[in-house]
Amino acid sequence: MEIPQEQLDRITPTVNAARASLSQLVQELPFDAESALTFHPEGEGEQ
Amino acid sequence: MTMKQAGAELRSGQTTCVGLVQEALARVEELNPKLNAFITVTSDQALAHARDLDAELAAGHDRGPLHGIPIAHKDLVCTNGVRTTSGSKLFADYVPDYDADVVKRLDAAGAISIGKLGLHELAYGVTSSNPHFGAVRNPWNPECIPGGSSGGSGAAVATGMVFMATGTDTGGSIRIPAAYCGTVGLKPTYGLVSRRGVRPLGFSLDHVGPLTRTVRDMELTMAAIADMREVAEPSPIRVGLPEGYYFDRIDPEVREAVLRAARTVEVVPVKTPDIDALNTVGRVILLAEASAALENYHAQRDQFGPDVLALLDQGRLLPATDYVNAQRLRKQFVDEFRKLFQTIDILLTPTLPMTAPKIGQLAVELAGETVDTRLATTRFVRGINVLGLPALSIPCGFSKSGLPIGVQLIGRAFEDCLVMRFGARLEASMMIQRPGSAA
Repeated sequence: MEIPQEQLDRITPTVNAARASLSQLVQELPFDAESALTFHPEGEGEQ
Repeated sequence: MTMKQAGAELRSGQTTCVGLVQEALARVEELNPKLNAFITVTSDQALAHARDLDAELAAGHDRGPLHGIPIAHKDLVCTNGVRTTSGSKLFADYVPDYDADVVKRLDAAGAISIGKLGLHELAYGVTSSNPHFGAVRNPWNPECIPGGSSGGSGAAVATGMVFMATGTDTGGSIRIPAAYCGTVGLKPTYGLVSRRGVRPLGFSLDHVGPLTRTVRDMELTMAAIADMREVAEPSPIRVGLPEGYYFDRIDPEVREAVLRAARTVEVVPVKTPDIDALNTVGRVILLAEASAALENYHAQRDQFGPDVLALLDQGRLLPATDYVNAQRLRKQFVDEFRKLFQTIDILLTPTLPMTAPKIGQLAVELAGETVDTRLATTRFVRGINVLGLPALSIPCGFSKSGLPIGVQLIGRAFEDCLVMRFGARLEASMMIQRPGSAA
């Protein structure tokens, strides 16, 4: 399916802006910052 | 009528479970052709269930405040034997053979589901203008969106078709329709209400929660669907009113209504972390997680509406490094908000910067700027999903054109009880004048 140009014109700049902003934010992030991606070796159950 | 009032009438013999369901079905028959809130109505099943619950009551078995109360589920919540479309062509004929956990719990509490509610396709959007099942309409003005993605839930609760509806919130999808339709909506703490049996969109951002007419009804519902933690109430409850961001680019009528609500309680001015940056983190995480969640279906391109397909394409192009870095930043924001919540108990903000836009309206004017409708709609709500904190939207007024306005109350993780208790007080102190009734 071809995505109408109007949709692309709305979404692409939003994503590009988010990526640019993210890249700037990461520059200020300490290299040893604890990440939300860390995991529990013993596992964690969902409530 | 509230759930509490209906319960009182039921127990005094003024009505029956069958009577409550019949009234609800009559409302659906009258209003659904105009609002398109329901995708599926399960009349026979609901009436049979009501008869069983009447028999139970007559035999002295009372399941509690939700006994005999008509409700409905967002149509991405799995219901055993009842079609669950997720608002998608892909699942238009999907009939689950099991109930989602939240359905099981509501069933055990005696609530009666009368059907399945419309939503934005796959819950990936804020308008509920669904290309496959039609646009859900705002009960206060059918030319406007009800918000989304839980648009059918907002419309059905606001018009009294049901007392309560389930919703899901990945970037505001409970609070947005609550605010645009004039209902109460709670995004509970992440994980407090089980997501099992609910179609995922953003694995680490999805929250299941209810929409109700009053905060008291919300408390009754949450007691049934979650293992709530009791919290000692601080005295006084410290309420933070943020400066800047939340009141900069906002419709003046919304600003005035929210500040009027804030004036009914004691507030302290606070400075929040960078919400724009927090929203960026939420947007990047959702792009990646949603595309991953729907990866198996990506090749079936003609099964998606164009807005959802464009987002899924973008998510697949996003480098994994962006997702990882967004998750690193997320931890930092969680810490920053933890510090903020050492000085306050509740953060009070507008839920949305404006009232409901028209169906198909792509941009809105805010403070002299033209802003994309979707970006404007999610501005105050998206970031809270990144943090996983409880956030309650309650009505705080109406615009001159008769559209509802919502105020958002955010609390510490697992302090949902405190947020609702404070919300109930705020609701009582505001005494909103409604311009007639919805629809």
